Amino acid sequence: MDKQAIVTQLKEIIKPFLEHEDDSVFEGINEQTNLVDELSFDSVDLIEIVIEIEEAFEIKIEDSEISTIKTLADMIGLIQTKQANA
Amino acid sequence: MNMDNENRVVITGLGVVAPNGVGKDRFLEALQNGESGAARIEELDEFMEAGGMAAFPKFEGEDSAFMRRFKLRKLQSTGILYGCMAGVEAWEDAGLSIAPKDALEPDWDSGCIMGGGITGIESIDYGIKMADVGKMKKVGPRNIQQSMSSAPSAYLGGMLGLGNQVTSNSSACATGTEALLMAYHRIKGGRAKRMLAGGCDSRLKYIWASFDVMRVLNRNPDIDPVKASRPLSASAAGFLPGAGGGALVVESLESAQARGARIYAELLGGSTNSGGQRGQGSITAPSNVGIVRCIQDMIKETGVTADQIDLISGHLTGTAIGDPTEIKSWVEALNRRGEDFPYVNSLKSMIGHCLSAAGAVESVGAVLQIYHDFVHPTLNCEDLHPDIADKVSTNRIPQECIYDAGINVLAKASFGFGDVNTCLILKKWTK
Repeated sequence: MDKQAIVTQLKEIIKPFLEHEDDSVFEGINEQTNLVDELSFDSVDLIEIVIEIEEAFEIKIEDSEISTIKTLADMIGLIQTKQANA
Repeated sequence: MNMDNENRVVITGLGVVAPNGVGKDRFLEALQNGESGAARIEELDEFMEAGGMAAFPKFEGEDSAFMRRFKLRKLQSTGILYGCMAGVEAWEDAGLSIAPKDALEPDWDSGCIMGGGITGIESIDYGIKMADVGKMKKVGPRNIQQSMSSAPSAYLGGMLGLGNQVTSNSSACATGTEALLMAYHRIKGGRAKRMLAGGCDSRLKYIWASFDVMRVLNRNPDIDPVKASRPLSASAAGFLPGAGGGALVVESLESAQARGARIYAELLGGSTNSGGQRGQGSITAPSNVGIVRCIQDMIKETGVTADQIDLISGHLTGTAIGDPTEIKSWVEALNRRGEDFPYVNSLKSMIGHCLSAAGAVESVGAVLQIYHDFVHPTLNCEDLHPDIADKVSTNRIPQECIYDAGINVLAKASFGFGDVNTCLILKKWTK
């Protein structure tokens, strides 16, 4: 799966979490956007996003890997690594 | 009256999400104008024999703005939203600030008793539907925090950074009023400076199905929804579904005065009891002896005399049996009747029955009536029930708003399934 396709799918996963934000918040997301500091995602949000990612990309993310996710780039890297090793 | 200065308790903040008005100012206007929040509700229409009539809060973007402000993601339960909106409004109305998220300590002096009933039902419904089709992960990590009984206080406690007692009581339709009395005792006992107290409940259709088959809702298919809630009336035919949230900041007089807060009213305390489901009482029906005793205990507890009560904000749901029983109980307990009976009104004639939110929304209404000195009308009681008309003069049950009514002492009553009762006394604030 190429990177752009992953980004597109990840943004679709994140979008419902920003349903009450201004559109500019979603539109301003880039690979370096910090999910906690900039989007105010809490631990429950991150777990819910991980569940969505596991389902969408058919991968399994370990508990210990969740804490390494800070940005979209971290997610992309994790997905690419998992898919490469599948 | 119990006027000793030791730990007097006052109301300093109000917040409300009511079917006829979101926000304190809009709600006040609706009460004075006698505006109903009832409407046809499509989602109920094919679901219940009683048809799609209800009084639910209507928003013009306030709900999504609130969720954006507090980053409430995927909040499914409407009752929690109503309770939180009312709670934050009351808090800020009291002139209190919200501790920043990165504050090292919470506000140890402030707590919250925000009651609920079936508040998390949307979340429970979603979780069960997902689990039943094998989508266990879709149940999601957020399900339990919205499904748990303490969800309304847990959400509010976090939003406001409250460090005193944070809990949710649950006593069916007496919940909101009971929360106020619990807050009163916590402050009176010196265990908190202020408590955010109230109640909330959800609107989801499944709540109403059981009430529908119990035949306690107005089932007239041809009636205008605005006419369906008919407390005190001879043609009362059952209550109207309602939903919402109400919250009041209950504070020690010392704390309120120290920070120069506006004081809406004094809370003199009250009484809570149960008829024990003996005599006429059952899990769904109140017993007359329980109600009478609750009123009499309220009088003893607060030191008011029966003749000092100017207005009763009744429970009065619009059922043919319940309302005459309630009025009979007041007549017995106060030994007042006819022209001598206090003013009495029913907010449920405008907002339906908001279940666990009812006592809280109605208490906000009660405080507004004391503070602005008016008696809101009761809608749809042009044909008073004969058993009520026999005991209370018609001019004590206003059908139009009465301004400058001289309301000094107000009794608020709520009764609930489980044969539980709570009665409070609110008094116009004087130093």
